[in-house]
Amino acid sequence: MKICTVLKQVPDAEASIRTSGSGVDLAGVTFVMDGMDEYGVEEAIRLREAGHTAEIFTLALGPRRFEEAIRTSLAIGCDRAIHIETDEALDVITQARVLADAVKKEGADLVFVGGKEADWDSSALGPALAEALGWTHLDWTTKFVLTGTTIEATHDTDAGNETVKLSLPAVITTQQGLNEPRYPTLPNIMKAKRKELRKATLADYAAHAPLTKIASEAIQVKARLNKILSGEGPETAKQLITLLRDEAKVI
Amino acid sequence: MLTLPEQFLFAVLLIASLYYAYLGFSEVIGVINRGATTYYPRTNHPVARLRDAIVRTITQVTVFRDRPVVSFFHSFVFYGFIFYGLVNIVDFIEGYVPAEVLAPIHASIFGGLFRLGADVFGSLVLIGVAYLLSRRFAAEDPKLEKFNPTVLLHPGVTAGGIRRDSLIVGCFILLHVGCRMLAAGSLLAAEGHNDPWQPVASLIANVIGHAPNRIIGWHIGWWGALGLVLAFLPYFPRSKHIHLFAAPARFALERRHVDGSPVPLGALEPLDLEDDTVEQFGVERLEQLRFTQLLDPYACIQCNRCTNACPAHATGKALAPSAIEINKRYELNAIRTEFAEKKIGSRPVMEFVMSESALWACTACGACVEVCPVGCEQLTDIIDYRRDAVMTKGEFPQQLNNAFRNLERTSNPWGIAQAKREEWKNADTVAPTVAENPDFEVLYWVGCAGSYDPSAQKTARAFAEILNHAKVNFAILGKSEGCTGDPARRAGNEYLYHSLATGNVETLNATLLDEKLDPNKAKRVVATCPHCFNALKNDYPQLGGNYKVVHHTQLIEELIAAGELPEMILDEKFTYHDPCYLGRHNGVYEAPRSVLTGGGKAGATFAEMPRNKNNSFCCGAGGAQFWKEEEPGTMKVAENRYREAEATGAKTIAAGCPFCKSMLASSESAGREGAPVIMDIAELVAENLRKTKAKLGLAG
Ligand code: SF4
Ligand code: SF4
Ligand code: SF4
Repeated sequence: MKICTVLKQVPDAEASIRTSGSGVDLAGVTFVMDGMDEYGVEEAIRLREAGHTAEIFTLALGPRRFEEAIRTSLAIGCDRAIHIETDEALDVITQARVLADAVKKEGADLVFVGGKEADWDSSALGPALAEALGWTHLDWTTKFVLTGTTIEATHDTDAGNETVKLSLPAVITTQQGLNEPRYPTLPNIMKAKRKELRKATLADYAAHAPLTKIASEAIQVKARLNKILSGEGPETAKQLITLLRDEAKVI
Repeated sequence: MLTLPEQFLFAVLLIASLYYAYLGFSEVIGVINRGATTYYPRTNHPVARLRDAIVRTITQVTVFRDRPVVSFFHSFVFYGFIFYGLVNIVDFIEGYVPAEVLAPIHASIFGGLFRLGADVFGSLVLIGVAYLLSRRFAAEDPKLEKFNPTVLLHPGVTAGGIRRDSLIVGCFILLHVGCRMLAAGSLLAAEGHNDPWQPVASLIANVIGHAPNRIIGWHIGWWGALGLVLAFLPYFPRSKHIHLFAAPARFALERRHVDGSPVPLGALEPLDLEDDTVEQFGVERLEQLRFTQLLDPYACIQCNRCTNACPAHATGKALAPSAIEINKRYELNAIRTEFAEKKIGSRPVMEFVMSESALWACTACGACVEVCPVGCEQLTDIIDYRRDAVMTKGEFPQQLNNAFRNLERTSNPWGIAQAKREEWKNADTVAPTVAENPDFEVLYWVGCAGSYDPSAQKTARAFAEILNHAKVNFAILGKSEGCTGDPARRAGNEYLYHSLATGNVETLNATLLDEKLDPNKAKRVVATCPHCFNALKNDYPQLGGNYKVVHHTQLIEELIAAGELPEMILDEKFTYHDPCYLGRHNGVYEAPRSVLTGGGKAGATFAEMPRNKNNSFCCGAGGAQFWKEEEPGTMKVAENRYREAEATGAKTIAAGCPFCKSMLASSESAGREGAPVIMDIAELVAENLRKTKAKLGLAG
């Protein structure tokens, strides 16, 4: 079996992002592997540890800086990686089509990808990838068991969760609760440096014209009201409640 | 003199005994030889080493550091034994050389003194051993072998190995010396006179009665005394009494800097992280230890002083530092021959040395190392096992995972953005960065706690206020400061420590040193966090960072002495908690006390806790404990310490460390109405400063 873990590198959740002009300024920001993607990498490794013979490869589409996150996945235990390098800001559907072509070329049976990646906060990559591959998919997975080619998995729904059975090939989107990603060990970090990280370009895969183009960007700025209440404690509390209820309408 | 057959028999037995003893000792040496070499020199300045080891052994200073009564009786045995070395040689000669030949020596003043020595020391040994045995077996002193039920012990120990070993050795000494006394007494009895040089032997002679045939008693006694030695020699390398040799060797092999100066007790060995063929980091099995760590279990006398001093053990955790050495020893005894011959390695240490909970219960406080009379380094072992758990196996408490990720991503364990590092300052805090004040004289290392922890931020602001008042030309690194790496290093994550530390060393070299990196011309750096202080001072030299580092209490003391700050007199009762990494690890005990007591003028307003200075009890934060749940036990370490502080009647507990402050403040008792408050010395000094200014009618 071949397992593909798709990942992205995104700004650390704690990083303070500055704006410059109408866009964001990413200079000096710490980038990390997307937290949701990480659950997928961990799950793939756990499948192998549970006795499935599988080759696990990382697949990433994005700029050169992604390399660090890719190395992390290799340190966690992926066998090799393919990095389709591009600085172009592709829409999710186009990304999915390129990735799908790569998944097909590598002959993978199972794809893990984060439920919602922190770059554009879209939850579409997984489903779009499944669509492009013509595979079945399950999103927001919190429990995953593979027996032979049958998957029994639990995923979140709006009202709660459900457990379903599906069979390979499949695309699984992952999220918190699925597992606790491990901390890579040092020998594995060392080994990761020697593992294969193959570079590719968009040209290596079936050409897909982007479906969207960024026409302009704007930063949404909300001015604070800077309202300061004065008076005794209990009285200000009442004022605050009135304001929150009647003006802000939050309670 | 012995009869000819006796002489022959003894010679044969002597050769056999020496042979078996030789085998035993060479096994021990083989075991120790399997250990790796150490980063810190162990054999440089041999003359000073030898001298110090001899002085330490002869004066027994390290023994007397604790348990004065036991140490007193132990010294009887020790000095008696040393003298008995000579006695045994003389007795041996007497067995082979006719009495007439030796008579002139006997008659001389030397002969007299020797007999007096043998008589007196022999009696002292008997008294000492009788006391020690009764303490262990009759009185069952709970300090011995009293481990928390969760402590992992080697099967040999649970089977009563320590008691048996003690009994065998105790009885050997009693019989050996007893027989010697009998021999001396019988000789006098046979010669028909008493000897003023041998009061005790004369007493024995009188009891058994003077008659020539009493010489048989001399033969029995002689064989009893020296024959037992032959029986005991091969047992020696198996028993804990090999400490007789191993402890002085351990002293001589203590770690020292290249210039011969002592290395602080908590210093850790660096690792080679460049070599990417290495597959094992830290220690999984005994053969991966350094040779001194393999000598430790032989030097260890199994006295349990370290366990009695350990804050984790005192609060019911599964950790007992003595068990580390004892378990290592029992395992080594079990596998010694093949292990020494390099035919086998040991089982993984986590199977027999300590449990996982024990491994993660250590606060790296160093109390065990400080109190150990023979110089064992239990803490080094713990960190080595943690290195294996974290770096090689990736198995460690989940919460540390967060701390590590935070350190990786945000350069502080809290995980708050690096961009917010200067947000400890409020509107009126003056603390320029190096860029803003390039001609600074002192660099203030704020540390992660000072930068991000609200309670430590108060300390940082107070300290900046103090510096400004005293007109110290200082600067901070601001956003170019990152965690020193101490929490990662003490948690066994040397790799993460290394990446954080190398970044800081680079920054500090560029900030504090001239182009030639001359450490003598370095500008000073002051830290309000003892963990930072220790890292900058003791960890960074391993990475080529040599700085002049002071703790804020030291700088404040200096400023008071220079008249730049008013002396502080606190009017309510207070006590002071020694942070492990300031006190025990770096020997700074007096500066904070002098600041707090107005140079000693405080009198009874200052109440010391019973456990203070080098015997101080940890707050529970160190060794990365702050970043994880405390291991299961009967009490929180901080609670134990807080109660001790409260019992002094103090209204204020002064601290010199953001983590101590935070730990003590979060203890259960601290939450009660009217409980003593915990404040950093900087806060107290700043408060005093404001009061003084107000008194003098000066504005703000
Ligand atoms: S360093 Fe402190 S906590 Fe750790 S074993 Fe020693 S005494 Fe116990
Ligand atoms: S390690 Fe030191 S203090 Fe601890 S039991 Fe052994 S000799 Fe005593
Ligand atoms: S050692 Fe200093 S720099 Fe590191 S976490 Fe502690 S306070 Fe921060």
